[in-house]
Amino acid sequence: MSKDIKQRTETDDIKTGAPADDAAPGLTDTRTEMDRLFAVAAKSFETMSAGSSQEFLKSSRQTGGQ
Amino acid sequence: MGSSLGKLLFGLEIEFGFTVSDDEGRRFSPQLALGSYLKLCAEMFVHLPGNGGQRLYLANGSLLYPDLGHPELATAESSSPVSLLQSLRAGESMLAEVAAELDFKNGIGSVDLYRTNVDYSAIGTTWGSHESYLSRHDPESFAPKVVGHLVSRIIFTGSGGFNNRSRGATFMLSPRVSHLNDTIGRDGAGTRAIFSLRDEPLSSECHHRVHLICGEPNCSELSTYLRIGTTALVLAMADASVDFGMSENWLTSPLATMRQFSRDPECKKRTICGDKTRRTALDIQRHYLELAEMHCNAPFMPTWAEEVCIKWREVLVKLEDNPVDLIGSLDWPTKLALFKQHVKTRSTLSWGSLVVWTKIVARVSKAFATEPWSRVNSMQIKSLLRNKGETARLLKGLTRTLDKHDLDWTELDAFQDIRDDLCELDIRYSQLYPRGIFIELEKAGQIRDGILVAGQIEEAIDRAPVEGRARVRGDWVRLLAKSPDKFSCDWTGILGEKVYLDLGDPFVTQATWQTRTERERPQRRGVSSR
Repeated sequence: MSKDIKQRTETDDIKTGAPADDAAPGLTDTRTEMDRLFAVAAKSFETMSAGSSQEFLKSSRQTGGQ
Repeated sequence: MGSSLGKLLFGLEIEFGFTVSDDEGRRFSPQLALGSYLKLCAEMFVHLPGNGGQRLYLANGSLLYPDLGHPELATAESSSPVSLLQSLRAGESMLAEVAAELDFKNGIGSVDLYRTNVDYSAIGTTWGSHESYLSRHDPESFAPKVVGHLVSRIIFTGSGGFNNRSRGATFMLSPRVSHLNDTIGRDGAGTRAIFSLRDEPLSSECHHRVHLICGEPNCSELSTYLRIGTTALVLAMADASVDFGMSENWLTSPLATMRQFSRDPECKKRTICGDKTRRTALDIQRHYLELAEMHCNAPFMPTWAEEVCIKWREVLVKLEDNPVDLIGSLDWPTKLALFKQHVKTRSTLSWGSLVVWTKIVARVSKAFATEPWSRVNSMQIKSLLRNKGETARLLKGLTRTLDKHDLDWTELDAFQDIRDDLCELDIRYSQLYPRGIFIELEKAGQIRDGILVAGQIEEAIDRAPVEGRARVRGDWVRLLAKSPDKFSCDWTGILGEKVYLDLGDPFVTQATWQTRTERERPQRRGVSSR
C-alpha cells in the first residue's frame, strides 16, 4: 500500500468513526500469536479459493434455510 | 425442568449448506444431490428409518433428514452442554465423512458441505440452527424473562459475518439477526421471532418444548457450549418461576436492540430499558449471570451450573477488558480479525472506508441494479455523471459524500471485489468438507478454549448420551437395524409391525416393548411434523 493511500485511509477511519484496519476494538495486541493465526487462515483460504469470489458466491448458491 | 427438578434435556438442529457438481463443474439439482447423499448416509450408518421421507434415526441418538434441498441434523437429546457438543461434533464429523465418500464416486467433480449461517449469493438465505429445551411450563408463560438473554447473548454466541440482505459489507456479530422480525411469536411463513412460541413437546403430555430459532451455527466449541449452557440455565430459572427482577417490558425494543448490539463489536452500545436505565449487552448479560450464580445450588439447577457460570463470567470479563484474548476462541472476534487482516493485505481500501462504501452501494444498487448479480462499475458511474436529470443528481449527491470521506468513485470496483472476497472468506471459514479455515486453524493449534478432549467425539459417534431416551432408542436402533422385521422410529418411540416401544418420557432409561394389540401407539402432540 502506498504511503499516500495509507495516510488517507487512516484519516478515513477517524472521519467515519470506524476502527482502523488493524485496530479492531480492543484487538490491537499480541501480534505474534495473531500473525500465526493469520498465516494459517490465509494459506487455507488460498488453497480453497480459486478464481473470482463473485463466481464462487454464485456457484455456492443453495436452496432452503429456515 | 423435565420430569425431575435439576434434570435438563436439550438438543440442536443444524441446517447444512450443500452443493454437488459433476466432472465438468455443472451443478446437480439440490434434490438429486441430496438424494444421493442421504442414500450414502443410509449405507454407511446403522439406522432405522423414520416415518416417511429419507429420515434416518442413527444409533448415536441423532436424526439425519432432508430439509428444503439440504441435509439437516438433529443431535441426540443431551443433558449437559458438553454432551450436546459431543453429539454435534460427532454428527458434523459423520456428515463430512459421507461428503468425502460421495466425492470419490464416478461422475462427481466436487462436493461442498458448509456449516453456514447466511448465503451471500444475492438471494439472501439464512440457515438456522434451532435449539430445543424441555420445560415443565408453557414457554409463553415465561418468554418475556428470557428475551433479554437471547438479545444480548450474541456477544459470545454470534458467528460473525455480514448482513446478507445488502450488497455492502456491514459486519455483524450475528448475521442471523437481520432475518428476525418479531420478538415473541409463532414461527411461520416469513416470521422468525427472537423467542418462538412453537410448542411441540415430542414427548408425553406433562412436557413442553422451548424451540428457539434465533441462533446460528458456531464453529467455536466455547461459543456453542455457552450458547446452550447459559440459555439452559436461564430457561431453568424461568421455568422455576424465579423472580428475574425485571418488568415484562425490560427491553423496550428487543428487536431493534438486538440489531444494534449485532452491529457493535465494541459491545459498548446502550439500549434504553423499561426502568429508564441505559444498559449495554454486557450489562444485560451480567444481570442474567448474577441470577444464575445466585441460584447455582437450587434444586432446579443442573449439576454443571457452576462450571457454566465460571466460563460465562470469564468471557464477559474478557469482552469488557481485553477482547483480543477471544481471537481464536469465540467465532466473531476471530472472524473480525481475519476480515480486517484480509482487507489490509488484499485491498487498497481501509476497513473503515467499507462503512461509507456500504451506504453508497446501497443507494446505487437501489437506483440502478435490476438483476441480483448485476454490478454498476465505476466507468458507468462516470458516464452517468455527465448526464442531466434525476440520476445525475443522485450521483452528484453521493459524490459529495465520497468527497467528505476523501474517497473516489474509482474505488467502487475495488470495494465490490473485496466485499465478495470477505463473503467467500466467511463461507470458507465454516466449510466442513473439504476442510475449511476453522478446521485448519484447529488442526494447527490456533484455536483456544476448546471444550472437548480426545476421544469424546469418537465416543459420541458410537453411542447416544448416557442420560435420556436417546440412549435407549440408539441401542435398540443398533440391535434392530438388521432385523428381518420392519421397524421405524420417531422421537417418542420405535414402531414394529406388532410391537411398540414407548419413549414418550424423555428421561426414560429402560423401556418395555408392548404388543400393539395390548396398547396402540400413543398419540403425541407435535410428533407428525418432526
